[in-house]
Amino acid sequence: MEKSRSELGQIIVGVARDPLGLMGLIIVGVIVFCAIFAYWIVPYDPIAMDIKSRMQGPSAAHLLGTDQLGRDTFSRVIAGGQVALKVALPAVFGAMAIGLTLGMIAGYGPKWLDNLLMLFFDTIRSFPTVMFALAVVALIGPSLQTVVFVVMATSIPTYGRVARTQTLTLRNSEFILAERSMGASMARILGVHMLPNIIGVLAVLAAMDIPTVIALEAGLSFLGLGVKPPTPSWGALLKDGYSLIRQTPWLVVGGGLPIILATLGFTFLGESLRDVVDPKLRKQR
Amino acid sequence: MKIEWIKAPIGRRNFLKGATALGAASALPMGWANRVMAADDGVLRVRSYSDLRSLDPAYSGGAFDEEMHACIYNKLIQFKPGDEWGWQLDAASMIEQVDPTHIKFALRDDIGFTNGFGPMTAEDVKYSFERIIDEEIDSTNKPDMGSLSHVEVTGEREGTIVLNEAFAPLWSIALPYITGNIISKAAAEAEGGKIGTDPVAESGPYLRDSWNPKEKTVLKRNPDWKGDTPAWDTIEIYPIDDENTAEIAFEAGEIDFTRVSLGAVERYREEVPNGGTLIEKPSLYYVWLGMNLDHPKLQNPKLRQAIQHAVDVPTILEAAYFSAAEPSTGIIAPGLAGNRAAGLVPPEANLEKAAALLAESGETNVTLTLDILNKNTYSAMAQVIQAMLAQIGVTVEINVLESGAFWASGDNEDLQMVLNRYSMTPDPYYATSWFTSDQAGVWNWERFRNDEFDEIHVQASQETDQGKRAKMYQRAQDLMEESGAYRFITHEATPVVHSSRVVPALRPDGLPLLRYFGKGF
Repeated sequence: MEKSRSELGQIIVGVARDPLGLMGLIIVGVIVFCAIFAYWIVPYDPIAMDIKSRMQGPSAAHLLGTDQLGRDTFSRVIAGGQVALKVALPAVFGAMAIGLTLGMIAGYGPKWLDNLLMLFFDTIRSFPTVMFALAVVALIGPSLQTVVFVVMATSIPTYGRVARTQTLTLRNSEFILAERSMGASMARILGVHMLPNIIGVLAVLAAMDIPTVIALEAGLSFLGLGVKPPTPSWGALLKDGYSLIRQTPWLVVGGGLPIILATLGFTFLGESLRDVVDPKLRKQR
Repeated sequence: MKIEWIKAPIGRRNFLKGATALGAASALPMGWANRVMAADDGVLRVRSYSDLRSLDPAYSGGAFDEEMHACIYNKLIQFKPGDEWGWQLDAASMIEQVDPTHIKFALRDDIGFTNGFGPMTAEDVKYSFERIIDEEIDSTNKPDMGSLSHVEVTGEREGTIVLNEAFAPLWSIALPYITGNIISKAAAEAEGGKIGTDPVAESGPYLRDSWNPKEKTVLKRNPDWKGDTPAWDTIEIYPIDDENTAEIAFEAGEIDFTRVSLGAVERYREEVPNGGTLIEKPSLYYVWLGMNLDHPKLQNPKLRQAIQHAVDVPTILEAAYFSAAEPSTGIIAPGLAGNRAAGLVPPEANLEKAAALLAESGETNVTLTLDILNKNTYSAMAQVIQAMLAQIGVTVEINVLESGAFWASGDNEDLQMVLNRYSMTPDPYYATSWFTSDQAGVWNWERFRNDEFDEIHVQASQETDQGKRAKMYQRAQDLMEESGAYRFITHEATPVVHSSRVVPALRPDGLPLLRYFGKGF
């Protein structure tokens, strides 16, 4: 436990030493903080309407102005971050968990099972994500859970393939052969010996996937097919803002800026994490 | 994902030069260069919300096609521009209803078709009208021709339109709108009976010169036109779907006329850029909150009435239509026979009454879904309704649907509440036709069934006394509202802007009649 804590500390220190990594860490930290404490931070109820005060510009009372229904845009941006992470975190980590499990089984298991799982991954990957999302939304209706399901389903093959490749690389390593010769079970080999060697790569991949998922949720909400109104989301803000861009451009700023920041933050963090976790992939400096 | 930082091959000096030039260009008044060029070039540039679909009146897609058809074809009668609905002679030199089922007409002797297809004759009128009701042609606009039986040709340019039974909308839909366009029989038959997107034979004051799909259509003045000379040499029609884009194009001087978004009305009321003018016309569209009478959750009439009284229409209009639209009293807009001065339920909410009705209904913990199209206006309306109904204890869950799924809702038995908007032609017959019993589950999504309503729909279309007809349609709307299935919201509005170069000619509902557009200076 002590060892793992020091490893985590080393990773954080390693990321913090990289300027882009530090920037990513700060941005992600702020987003996560705002999402967790959203309802203590927001100055107004994000869904409370005040139609008389609609489409106001930025002021001391409303930092990013108000929307068509007089709702405080800043409060909706903060609350929208919560929605973005509510979609992104379960979707990405869910996909990672399932992909990791299936990928390790494919890499370590019998050939027929490997072929079957690869066929499964390839079938899912053959669907364009957005088209798949639109089809699912049309079938079961838009909701937070629908977006999570779509993202999770379409991301599993990516994690599965990486996990499989890593497992294939490690399966004939000496320490694995030694474990097998001592009669260790498959579960023990995969869980105790393989997993710690694979999880780092997948964690980096997950960090880099989070902004993609946030953008997908925003995209679906922009199309009106993401979370249901009146739930605030960055994509819904963009959608509202787009139609009113000539009346009040602040909605587009409010919806667009956090998406840009989240994308940059998670990307910088992911790249830096990759450098620290896997020095072999370190970029040329 | 990896972000590579690449040094752009632009030096500091070059960057500053470029930025300065860009700044200077942006300092010019918007559209300055274009306006100077366009000031007196005889070209009228207008925006249409959609691109041409067909030059065949039988397959016209609607108002966007009709804008062109009305320029290149003629009808017996045309809509008269102005604030009151009316018609004026076009290709007809005389037209007269001799009895409820017979209309005599005579054609002008100076209208001919292009491409050598000769003068317009009564045979052309017969062919044009009868093909609309021909089963083989399967025209999408057949209902507009109502009870047409046939056209009798009594002379080269004389004939009689014969109806199976009286059909009042003949004068407000069939003759002056899409189905009234007269095409050349010889030209259409030479094309196998169908016309596509290329003109075969034209007869109007303008001729279709070119069409670049999704870009523009160019109409040029017809040199052989013998009627009043149109003011503009050329009309360029630009298909621009998005109203924000159209507004930018107008403000940049790229177009002279466009419908604008309701959200922009407040801004244009203060000032229209480039010396332009804002015209606010009422629209014929009707928007309402519907409740599915067949759904188990909405069987209780008191619950439906509670919902009717809990919805505050003025607040919805302020939020979703920026106070640029007025509350409606039904499905028939002001200016048309049958419009009601007031509905049975006032537009303002009465929460006390709504709460009392809900208590009377005995319903508790009511949760309903509200289906809407994924457009900003509906989303805003739905959220306001959600907040209003929450005040009386009714929980609303909003289902946002993309257009394919939404417009397939007719046969959705699980539909509970829906925000809907239908288009309209200038005759009440068109409005009531969607709410008859045989339309239940098709376009009648509330599944409203009422024998008296069905009877009124049939009888009113045959009634030629406008006073009696109006009372019949008013009663029909009373029946709709009494059912509790409808909360009427608005007929919207048609705000348009035009440049000072143009004197627009508009129908009372704001749709342009391009052939009558004049010059401002």
